[in-house]
Amino acid sequence: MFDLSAHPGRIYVLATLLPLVPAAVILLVGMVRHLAGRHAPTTAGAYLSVACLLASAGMAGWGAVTYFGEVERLPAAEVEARWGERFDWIRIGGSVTDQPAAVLPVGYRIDRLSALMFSMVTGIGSLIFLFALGYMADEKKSVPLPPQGEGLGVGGSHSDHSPPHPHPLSPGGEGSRRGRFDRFFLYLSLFAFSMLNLLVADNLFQVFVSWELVGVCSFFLIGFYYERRSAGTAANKAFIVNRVGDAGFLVGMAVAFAAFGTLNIADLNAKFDTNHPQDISHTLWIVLGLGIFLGAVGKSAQVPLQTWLPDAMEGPTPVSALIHAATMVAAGVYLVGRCYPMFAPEVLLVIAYIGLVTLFISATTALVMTDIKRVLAYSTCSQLGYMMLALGVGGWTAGLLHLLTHAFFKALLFLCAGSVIHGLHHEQDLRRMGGLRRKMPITAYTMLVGVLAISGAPLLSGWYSKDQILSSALGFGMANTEHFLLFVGPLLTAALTAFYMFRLWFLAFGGEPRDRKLYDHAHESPAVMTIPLMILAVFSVGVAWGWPIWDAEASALGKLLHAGQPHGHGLKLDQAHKLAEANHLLAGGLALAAAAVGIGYAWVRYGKQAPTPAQLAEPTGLLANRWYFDDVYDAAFVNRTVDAAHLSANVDRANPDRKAEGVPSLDGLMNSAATLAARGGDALRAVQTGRIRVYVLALALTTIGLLGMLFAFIR
Amino acid sequence: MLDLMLSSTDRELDLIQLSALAFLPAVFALVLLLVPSGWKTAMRWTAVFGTALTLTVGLCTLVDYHTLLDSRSDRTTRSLYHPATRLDERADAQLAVSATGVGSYLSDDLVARRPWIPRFDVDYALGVDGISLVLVLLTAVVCLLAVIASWTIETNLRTYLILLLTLESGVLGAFLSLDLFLFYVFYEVMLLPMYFLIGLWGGGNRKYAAIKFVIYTLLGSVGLLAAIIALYSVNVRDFVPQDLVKQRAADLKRKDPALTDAKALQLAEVHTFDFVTLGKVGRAVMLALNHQEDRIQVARKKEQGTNEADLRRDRQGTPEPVLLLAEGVDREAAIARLKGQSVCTPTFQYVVFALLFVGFAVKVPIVPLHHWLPDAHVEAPTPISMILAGVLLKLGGYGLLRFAFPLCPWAAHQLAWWVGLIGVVGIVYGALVAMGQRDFKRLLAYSSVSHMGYVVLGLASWSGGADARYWEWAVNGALFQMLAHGVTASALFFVVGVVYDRAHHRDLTRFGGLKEPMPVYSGMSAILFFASMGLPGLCGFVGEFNVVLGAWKFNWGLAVCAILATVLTAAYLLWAWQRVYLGVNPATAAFPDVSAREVAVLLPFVLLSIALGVFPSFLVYQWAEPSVAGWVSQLAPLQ
Repeated sequence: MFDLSAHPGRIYVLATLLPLVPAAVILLVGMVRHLAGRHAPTTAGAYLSVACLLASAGMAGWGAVTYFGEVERLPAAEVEARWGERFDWIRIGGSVTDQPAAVLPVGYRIDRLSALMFSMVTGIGSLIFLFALGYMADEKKSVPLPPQGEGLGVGGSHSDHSPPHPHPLSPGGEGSRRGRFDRFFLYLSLFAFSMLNLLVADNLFQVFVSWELVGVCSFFLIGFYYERRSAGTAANKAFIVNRVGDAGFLVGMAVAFAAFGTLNIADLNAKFDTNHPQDISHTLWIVLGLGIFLGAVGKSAQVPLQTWLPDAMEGPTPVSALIHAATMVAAGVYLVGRCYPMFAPEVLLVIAYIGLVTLFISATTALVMTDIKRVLAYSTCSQLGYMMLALGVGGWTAGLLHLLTHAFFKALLFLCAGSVIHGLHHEQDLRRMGGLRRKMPITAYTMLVGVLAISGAPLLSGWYSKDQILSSALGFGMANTEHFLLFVGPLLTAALTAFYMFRLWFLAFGGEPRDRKLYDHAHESPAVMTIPLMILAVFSVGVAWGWPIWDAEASALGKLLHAGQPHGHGLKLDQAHKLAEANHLLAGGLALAAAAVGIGYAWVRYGKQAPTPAQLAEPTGLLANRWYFDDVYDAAFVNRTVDAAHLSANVDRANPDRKAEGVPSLDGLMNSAATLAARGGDALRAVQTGRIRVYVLALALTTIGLLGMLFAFIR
Repeated sequence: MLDLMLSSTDRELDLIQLSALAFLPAVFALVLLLVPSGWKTAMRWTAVFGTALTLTVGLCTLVDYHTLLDSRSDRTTRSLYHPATRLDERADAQLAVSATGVGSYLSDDLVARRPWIPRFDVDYALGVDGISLVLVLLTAVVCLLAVIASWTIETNLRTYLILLLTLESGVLGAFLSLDLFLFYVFYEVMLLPMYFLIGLWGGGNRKYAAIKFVIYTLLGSVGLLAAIIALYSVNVRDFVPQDLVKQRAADLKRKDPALTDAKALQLAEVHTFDFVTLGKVGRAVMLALNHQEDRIQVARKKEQGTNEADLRRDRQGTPEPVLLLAEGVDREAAIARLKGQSVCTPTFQYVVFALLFVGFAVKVPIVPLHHWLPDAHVEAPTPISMILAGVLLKLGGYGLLRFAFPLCPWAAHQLAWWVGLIGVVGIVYGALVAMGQRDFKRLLAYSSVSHMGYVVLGLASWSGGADARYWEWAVNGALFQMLAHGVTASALFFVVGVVYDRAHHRDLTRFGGLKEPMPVYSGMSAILFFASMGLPGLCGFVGEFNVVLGAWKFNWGLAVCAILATVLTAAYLLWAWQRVYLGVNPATAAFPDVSAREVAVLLPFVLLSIALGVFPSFLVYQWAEPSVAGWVSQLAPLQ
């Protein structure tokens, strides 16, 4: 099956399917062991998961090297054939010829983008899996249950460290629950498979399948500490909000399938090769693009569907790093990048503005957050906004380069945060930290690398990508002056980014400890956790380097990507590209200045002197309430839907346990019709009989009548 | 029945096989009478053995059917898609054989036909194709697992099992019938066992639920009967082998020797309950009512190797012909005769379609005829709920697919948008009401209403011409949705049953924390919940996705509503998931995990959910889809 000489692309199929092995093993072994009455988690499955993902990463490395070698050497058609195949999943109709809309295939297709993404996901994934071996070590044995309503791990703001109340609930022992070490790696492996399948998929249908599968893995991982109500709610919220996006994705697919009879991404892109799409009206073209983009909005946590991501921090920290920073949330950007020609100019403009709104709103919210993971969550939203904006203004390479570099430094930042949380025994309130650089130096300084990278400090990976984004935006703004805001917004936000990231670092690691007890018990994490940090830090610095390294345009990674840039339909893009190149230095200079301002202000406020009590007070107002998105959604949609549900339930039938509240019930209506008929029968015969007999008699009479009709017909 | 089989000198294998499939459960019900009354375990094992044997026969039939599909090949169509293997063609062939009255009944085409009540032209006719076989196998699986789930029933066990087996016979017979009258008989046969199963073994309010079930279903089936009789009144003499007409003419002449031969031939009428023949009438009527009667053509001799493709080549430029009239019929006279009948009026078509639609829609069920379902589910014991959701509802969908649409295609086409709307209303309304429920079983009952709405929408997504392929997707989706819903809904009712056995209530607000004490149960439930929600990779997704793809071409507004309802589906199922499985709850902390018997019921459902979701084509579509393709290719070109 895996004939690699003719189809080297199949290495990717193998690498994709490999994580399913540990998932199946853990599932089966777990089930058998539970049924046999042995409830302690196994560790072997976890090590198998790590081994399999490492093997996948190795294959991805081999694949990428081979692919980038061949793509230079061989003609395009041959590369296409060697690195992509499709198989029928469902084929309908008896026709022997290939007709449109007759087949739903599955397949894989490797291009530059997917090869790079695959290497990134397996690489970062392996490091995070390794980290999780250390971070989740507590789960190897029974875990004491916290008092109800409070959390393990991520609790937001629980203020004291009183020992958990004894809890007489769990069979695993007094006040404890079974460890979930193996279950955690089951979900992670399943996630790895789904995510990799999403990357290699050559058609929208398969992307959608993986799209929902990563969603469900995310659901289980967010709700990992499901004793906590907030965790269950956050998991539901993530899944349902994503379903809204997925509904849009489905609409997009339905449009594409109805118009072209295929869902293959390359085929669809080819239909939009020119600026005059065939077989489809302009309106439907826009609907198609908006539908697919809505899917991406959900997955990549863009406004207006961004609210699930911060809540998703209820999950264990490696999950936040893997799924909610480096890979799954990037899937939306990846999809937009892959389907780039499918977007009409209007849609690209929408994408750019959605990105703009997201990056600004999220960055401002991050300014006041006090939970270390929430700051990072909002910063993720904001950075994803940058990527979307870049794609919208025609900076395909810039946006996707930022996707790759961001994955490294954001994974690094999250794992550092995880290391801090681990070292502080599950404390994540920034206001109670401080001075930790002395206790956990490796974490502190690797995190500083991440902070510098995300702020856009020169020569670090984030600088290359952010510089390209800003120059694309500047070019676009100069070509279309009415959209100049698309440059000003990200520039301002670059300063905000630098500010809130350094605020986080100063609050956690700088100055003096603000909670002495916490500080005294803090410790540096074990090597299995710090080594991944160091590797990620190296990548965060150098992943985008090229020669000369001081030239942001010379990034080797960027050049690899740029060679695969598809044709886009944005407004005056050619002109924008030219202007972007011409004013590249101006954009870069402004970005640098913005970052310097942000860092400097953070130093003044939080670094130079200890933060004042006012600065540490519980934040209030618009920003602390996340621009009231959650409240508005609750009021406008969630509560209305629940009301509608209760109303429908009441209309349908007066609930036995609740009064009908004056609503006429449909069931009551049908019943009274029946009662009326029964009464009529009773009245006619003036004899009181049981209801059953009435109906049986009615049935008999009807049957006789109908049989009479039958005789009449035959005669 | 036995008598019939033995009296025939030519024993026909098909007849025996299909009858065995339908009557094996009933035979085992008789066997149960012989088991001494104290031997409860023996009774249970007898029932398990009976249903398992039925499933085995069903699987053998599947193998036979696949062989049959594979037996013909033609370079112009894909393998397994030969037109001659379609149910219509096979039924026609059998009709021709039985009309001549000579020759052997021996055949290997999985269609069996014997006169049953000659006075009323009622045949004992059974047959399978991909559409019915899907549901037959579903029924056999669900009934087997329901019997295993019935292990805890103690009171009146023998009666219970006998009723359950009789019910299975009724359902299987209904799926296998080719004759409307026979179908009706089977349809009614399963009504009474269900009434007693709910009314005697149900919960506190069981009498009310049982009578409600009976009234609603009877309401539907009375309409059905009226429609069947109306269809029987149609003179189908131009659509059946002409030997039959000659026989009728001879009969007439015997009664009234004064008639001349020609006059007798002219007066001869043929009536039938055979739905294949009646379907031809329906298609002819549709063409006539659409003023396309020039497309109605006479079938030619098969031996000449002409088929519709050849004819199309012969008459390029002229409208596409539809071969409906029987060989040797005078076309002009036949069309005149057809147009002279009441069947060829819009009123007749509308009324009969409405009667059929309402008759089956009660079973589906559609809003607002669904109220029997929640009550019946809540009161019924767990295994009966499984059968109710897994099997009985499918009869509604099957009836729409097999009878309502093909018998009255003109009305179906005219009303397609309304039917689709009814489906969408069911989807959205069912989901909303489900969200507002506090009773676990009631929630699942309404989710059935919602999920079966996709079946109605899929069938209604009538796209003709070049777009017929989209309708085919939708109909395939509808069929698969029935299968998937059968698996997930029965499984979820069992899931409720498991927790009810431990908690003795079904109040969603009082559960919680089941994941910790019952990890295996929770894991399996999770897969079933997500399968029901339509997660890709599990069975619920395939049907919904195909329906949506097809429905978009038909009407994008309806499709968008169906798509948005997936958000509601996720919301109510996940909310229920959270309330039952997550959190911490002292009341549930000591529950034991599933027993081996419960695993034996749940595991097949879980494995089926996964397998059907990952390999729908290999497991189902490859043999079921040719039938759907045939179904669509008959109706779509009529537009």
